[in-house]
Amino acid sequence: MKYSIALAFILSASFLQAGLLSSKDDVKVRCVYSGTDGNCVEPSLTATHELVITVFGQGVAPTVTASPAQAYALAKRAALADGYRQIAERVQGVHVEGQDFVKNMMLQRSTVRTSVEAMVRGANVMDTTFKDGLCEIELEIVLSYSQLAK
Amino acid sequence: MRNRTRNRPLLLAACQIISACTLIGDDFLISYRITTKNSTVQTENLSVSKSMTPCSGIKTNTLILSRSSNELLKTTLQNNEEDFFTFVTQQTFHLQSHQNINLQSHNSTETLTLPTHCYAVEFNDDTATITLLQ
Repeated sequence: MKYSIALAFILSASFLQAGLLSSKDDVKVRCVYSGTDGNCVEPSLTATHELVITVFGQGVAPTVTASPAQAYALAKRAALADGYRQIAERVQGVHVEGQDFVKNMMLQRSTVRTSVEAMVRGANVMDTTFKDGLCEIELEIVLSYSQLAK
Repeated sequence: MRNRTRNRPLLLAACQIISACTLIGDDFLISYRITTKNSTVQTENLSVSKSMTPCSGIKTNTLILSRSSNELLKTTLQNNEEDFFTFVTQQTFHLQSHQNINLQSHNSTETLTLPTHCYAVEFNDDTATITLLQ
């Protein structure tokens, strides 16, 4: 009896320490955005802290083009659209809809649909590379309180 | 001897003609839409139309493009598309993206639209100055 009372006291004390008495500083935030040096970057947008989002959009030149210049231009357009999509996905989020069809305990059909719709303003093209028919655009957008207020 | 006051309307008209010849300004409505499928451009559409009514707004960003004489604005924009797209990327784009992934295939479609905006365009002999009105 004495042992059970002592055990209950120790358990309740440990729960109190873990839950009620712990300070907010002990809460660990999972690193979502990391820099090139591997250090975790604060993902939250505050009044004093701007958030820079960098994406790499990729576009492919069509197989039939009138000239290499046209192939480059069209691949760059496609890369721009892909970059804008990635920005919208990062900032606004993606609507995901999944559907699995199972028959006789076997997966017959699996479909995932994602969609995003957004207005994007102020994206800057930082760098453009074109190699082997693939165009890659580095797009950067700076999120700040002043821009959101506009 | 001719009266000097009667020469004023003639002088004013001459100044107007000279200024009209050197600098012709108009408002244009410009929009752009591109559709890509699986990272390849499917359709691209640049629409340029002269505004039937004067646009109201404050002049903001300006772009100067080189052009040959009597060249249409749409042709000028197509000839200087790199500069034009660098200019318009600062503005708001509307994006609509859909991806469909199943066991056999992966299809993606993106539609990027530059909403119709009014631009004040001034044509010179060898340049066109495009200013966004907001």
